[in-house]
Amino acid sequence: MFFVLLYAVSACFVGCNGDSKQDSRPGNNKIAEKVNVTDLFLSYTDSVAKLPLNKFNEAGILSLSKSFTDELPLSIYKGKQTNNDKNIIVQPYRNSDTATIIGGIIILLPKSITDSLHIGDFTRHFGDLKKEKPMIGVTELPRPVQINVNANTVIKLTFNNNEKLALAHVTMVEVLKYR
Amino acid sequence: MNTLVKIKEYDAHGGPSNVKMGGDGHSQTSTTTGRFVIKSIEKHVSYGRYAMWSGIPWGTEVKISGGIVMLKLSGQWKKLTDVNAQWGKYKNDQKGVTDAILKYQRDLYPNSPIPSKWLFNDFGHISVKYFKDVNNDRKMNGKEYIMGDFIHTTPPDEAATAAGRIFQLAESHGCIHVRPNDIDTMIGNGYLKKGNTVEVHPYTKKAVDASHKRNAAGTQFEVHFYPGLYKIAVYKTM
Repeated sequence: MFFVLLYAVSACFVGCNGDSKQDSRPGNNKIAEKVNVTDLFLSYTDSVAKLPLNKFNEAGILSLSKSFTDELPLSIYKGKQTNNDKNIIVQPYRNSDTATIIGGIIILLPKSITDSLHIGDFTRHFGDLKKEKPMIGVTELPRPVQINVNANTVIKLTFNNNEKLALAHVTMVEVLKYR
Repeated sequence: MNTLVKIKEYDAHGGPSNVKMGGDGHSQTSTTTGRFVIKSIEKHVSYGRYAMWSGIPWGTEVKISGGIVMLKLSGQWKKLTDVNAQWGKYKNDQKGVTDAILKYQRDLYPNSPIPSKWLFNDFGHISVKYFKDVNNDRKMNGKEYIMGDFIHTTPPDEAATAAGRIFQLAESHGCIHVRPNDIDTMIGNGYLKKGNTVEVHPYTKKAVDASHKRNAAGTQFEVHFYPGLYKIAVYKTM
């Protein structure tokens, strides 16, 4: 919510400072839009990561998502994956009692948001990537990377291959709760 | 010429529209456009740069015995490090190999952390391979060869499907990624079949065509991929 307020306040000042004509140039609008969607999405992910375990479920994510639906095209998964070219699709799940990961919330991004969302945006917001031992051999797809948010919460990022990891476009975010 | 009418449409993801370098140092190329004939539908085994994880057929039985990863190939249990030269480089690091297998299994299947089958082949449970039929005889001969772009699934998508979880098809190195359930449907319904045609349209195409005029060469179905639209469509010969 902080970012929503920050954006609303800054948008008000932009509209009043006489630079509005300059800011209406297409290039500037694009930057403003990128900052808006990227920051809003990071803010949403942050809120998902902060959900307490007793609200880390469908009811919890529904309630949280309601406060973002005016700004983000959020859609809770209802058994059929549709319109994933336009909407952010969200699916909560629980693992078996023996799994080390209690459960997760998957957030699938449409291409329009993926195109402006990079691994670097997440590390700037949430901190460094978890250091892992390099994997033996090469896989066709890059392995997801993770950021430890706290002792029990991890953000896992799936991304399109890129020479520079920080610039890789994020396609899917998964917030995981560990035991 | 035959009239082909679209009857089905599925999600699909090819390579990037322009060549780019991946983080693994291998370039990602666009999916080659044109008309092709399906040569085979099989579990892919890689001998090239992916020979480690994809050098073993999907579904091969796996067990960990005495801390050593074993595979059942041709009815015989073998150490993973004896399967090919790539894994052989790690024969003096059995613990490192076992840890790597367990980690990949845990990442993909947190509810089944001990592997019983090889579910790590990059080309998924089945691959559709096709060739450019230069002399139009519907047979692969002369200098014709199987294209490097297959239609296939991926390990993360297979794992997500098995767990009933949503996923996004990933950009490929040129292959056509499809959903595991969709490839099974397309094969099961005879849309993807040896001898059938696969057509890859240009990236610039703005809409999936409702129909086409093509020489169907006696086949009942054709599958057309629209890489710029992330869709694969099935056409029926009328």
